[in-house]
Amino acid sequence: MSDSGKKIIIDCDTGIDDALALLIALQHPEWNILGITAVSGNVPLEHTVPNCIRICTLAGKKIPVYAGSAKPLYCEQRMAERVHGKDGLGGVKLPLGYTVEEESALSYLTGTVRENPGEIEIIAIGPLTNIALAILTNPHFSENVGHLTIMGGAIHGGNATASAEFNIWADPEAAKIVFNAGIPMTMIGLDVTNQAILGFDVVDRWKGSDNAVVRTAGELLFSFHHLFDGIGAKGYALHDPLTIAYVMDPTLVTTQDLYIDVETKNTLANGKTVADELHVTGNNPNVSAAVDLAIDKFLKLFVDAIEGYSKV
Amino acid sequence: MRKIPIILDCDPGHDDAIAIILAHASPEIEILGVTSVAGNQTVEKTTLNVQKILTFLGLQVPVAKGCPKPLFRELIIAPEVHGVTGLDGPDLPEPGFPIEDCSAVELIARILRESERKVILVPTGALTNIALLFIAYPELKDKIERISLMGGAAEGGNWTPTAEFNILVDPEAADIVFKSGLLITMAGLDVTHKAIITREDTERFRNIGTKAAGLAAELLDFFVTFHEENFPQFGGSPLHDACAVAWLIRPDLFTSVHKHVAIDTGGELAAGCTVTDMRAFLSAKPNTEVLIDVKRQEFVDFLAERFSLLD
Repeated sequence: MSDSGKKIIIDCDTGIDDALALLIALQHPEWNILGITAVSGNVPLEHTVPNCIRICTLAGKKIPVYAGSAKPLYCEQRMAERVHGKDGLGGVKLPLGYTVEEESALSYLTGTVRENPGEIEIIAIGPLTNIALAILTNPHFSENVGHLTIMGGAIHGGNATASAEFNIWADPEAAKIVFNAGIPMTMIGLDVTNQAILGFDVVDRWKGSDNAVVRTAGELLFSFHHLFDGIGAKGYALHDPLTIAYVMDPTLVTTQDLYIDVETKNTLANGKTVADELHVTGNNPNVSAAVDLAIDKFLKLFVDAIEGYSKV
Repeated sequence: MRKIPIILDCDPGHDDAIAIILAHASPEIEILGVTSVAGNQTVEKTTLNVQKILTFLGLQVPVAKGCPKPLFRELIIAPEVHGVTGLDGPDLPEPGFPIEDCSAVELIARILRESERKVILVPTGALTNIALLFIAYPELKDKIERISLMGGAAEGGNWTPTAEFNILVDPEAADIVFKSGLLITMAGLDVTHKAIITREDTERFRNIGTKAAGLAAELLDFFVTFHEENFPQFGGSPLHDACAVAWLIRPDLFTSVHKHVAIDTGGELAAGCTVTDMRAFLSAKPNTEVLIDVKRQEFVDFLAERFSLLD
């Protein structure tokens, strides 16, 4: 790993698809992941913190992990334990190779961005609570972040409610702060992540692998299987891995510059990322939003990265 | 004597400045740090004002810059009351020391972690920093003895008919703080509109002859003039923020009631109202000691005595 590479901080709520996202990030030979900040989301913080460490341990890495916010900024806590299991890893047991850092995620994020102005790429694949706290408490944080890529939101539709994607819905107030902060930002939303489907055949093959990482990747994804009864799913949606993959290779998705704000009122559209596609608000675009996906190219990158673990 | 350890979180502001002077002049109090927040003026200006006041007083404690904006709303400032600098009137020295690298929330968190004793938070501005502290570090509530704040009112308002300025600036932050489970002393308009400083009181302070008393008098010259022109019914100037500090040292000067206080965050007419359940309509447990009266003359005597202690 070279210091000259992009300096990356991953903010996540690990979570099964977060775990797979971390696995491909950790496998990349040139990536300089400075730290991982955990947030509550899919499951409570008490699970997302150790889960980040478990995945790094599995990958044979020791990236520092920092504990972030245990609760959303202002709304009641909303989680996805039905999807990710009570422990967040669908019941897959993995060893903890090291301990969490003493420094908080907030202090780490703001300190690192302050010391590396313009150089940090933040990839946020959970609710945006930690990022919003950094913006609110540190006046110069937004201008000093190099770039932010998030998994969250949708130009159209939702998955937590009819109008809201889970990561945004889990902390709408935080999302609104982040979208309006002026940080150069790319949104990888449901418009593309719902197309990022990994077939059942790959997962079946991985479950039988001799390699512990590949086999675990298969088991983690297979734990989603109980959700698919009777809904006609064609495979596993890779929301968070696509977000990491996009940062590795921006040609995987096409994007459109849009003005996007977040509904925070307690209405049917609470947590909706409202995208001004027709430019009716007159506001300038604040987000580069993913609108289409080179699916084959993405799946090749993802499968090669996971299977790369068996070739070391 | 074991001193009361406090952190001042403020937006100076003339009355914030006098609260700082009073705390510094009082041997019962140990100021562990001072943090700024946006409110009376922008956070750039309130931070500079904190630095200038501390430089003038020769008070060396850590200072950090707080939040530039309320949690979810646009900032309201009060240049009509405190002038373009936020502290118009006295000539103060340029800052003689730098502020901390970290944010106000990080400084408060550090002080609380390092303190062996529980600390009293004294916010005299919008509650943005304190709310974010509780969101980011809920475990540090255990290190807080109580909160003695200036803000709100059981009845009435000063910026709208229903809202006091500090609460109105960031109602959601106030909501988080009043729901924090910590004991709160609310020095609101009920009492601060009775803590009136007259022109005669100001002259009395000036004649004490100490540097600190002189600064207090100059601050009050500006503040009393503003109130004479805009709110002549007071017969002087309410000394809002100093009440939150004075109560810590001399609770006997005040009358209070224990009530449940909740913040209206959704209203059009009542946003920022500290809804105080005076007649126990709700079955909610009291969370706030609401100050409702002050022995005005003794309060003024107390200030004069304290201003004479500092040179």
